[in-house]
Amino acid sequence: MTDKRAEFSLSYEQVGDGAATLITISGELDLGSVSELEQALDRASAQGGSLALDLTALRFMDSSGLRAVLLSNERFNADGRRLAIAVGDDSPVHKLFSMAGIEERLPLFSTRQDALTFAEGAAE
Amino acid sequence: MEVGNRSTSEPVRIDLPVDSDSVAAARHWAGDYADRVGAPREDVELAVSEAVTNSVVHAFPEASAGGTISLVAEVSGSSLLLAVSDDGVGMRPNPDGDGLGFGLPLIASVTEQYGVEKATDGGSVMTMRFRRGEVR
Repeated sequence: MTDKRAEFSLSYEQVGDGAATLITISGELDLGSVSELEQALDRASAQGGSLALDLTALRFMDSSGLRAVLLSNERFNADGRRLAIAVGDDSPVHKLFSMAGIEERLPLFSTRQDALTFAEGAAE
Repeated sequence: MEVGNRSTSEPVRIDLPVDSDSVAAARHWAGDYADRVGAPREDVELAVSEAVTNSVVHAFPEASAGGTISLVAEVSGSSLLLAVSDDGVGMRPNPDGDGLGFGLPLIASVTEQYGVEKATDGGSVMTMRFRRGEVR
């Protein structure tokens, strides 16, 4: 029987009249689910524009997710594009970024809307 | 198995195949046990997730070779002891890795004590200690 706690879901949409991509993920992000996120990040990178990544509904994330987010941030920055990441307040994901000591290296936001506003603003 | 406030317990064990789905299975198993014995579930889940990921990614370079990852948990006084072992190739330098290397530092952040040893069969054993009755 599948443990529902591990269920991972991802949605991908264009926002801001197509100038930005919004990827929303929920459930648990680890080695078993990160490939789906990586594929979505590759797609957003190829699509152009900025990216908002909503992690606020994640129940769990480990270093597999950290790696995917960091590498994507480097790629977007190298292309002169912005990646905005919504992590919530005092969430497991926010705590993980803090523990890893990389909060200052990434554009983290409390809410999905704040991340979208930043991403769409950078896309103008 | 209920442990509650008992200061010792018989070890409990789970064996898992070497695949990416085992990371979540191990994490949930360990997290449920942590809840029963009053250890910090979030810390245990993260540490086990990192330890099992290390085994899956690094200890079995030949994906078709099979292998087993085992977890053993027990209560010892005010601590939860967890051991994650594999029968893989052991720890080796990985020059082709991307070197982000968050796994061990994250384990260090959430455990009272941890260590890695070479297993007698050539694999590795990571042992971790968590304090019971504390929530970070």
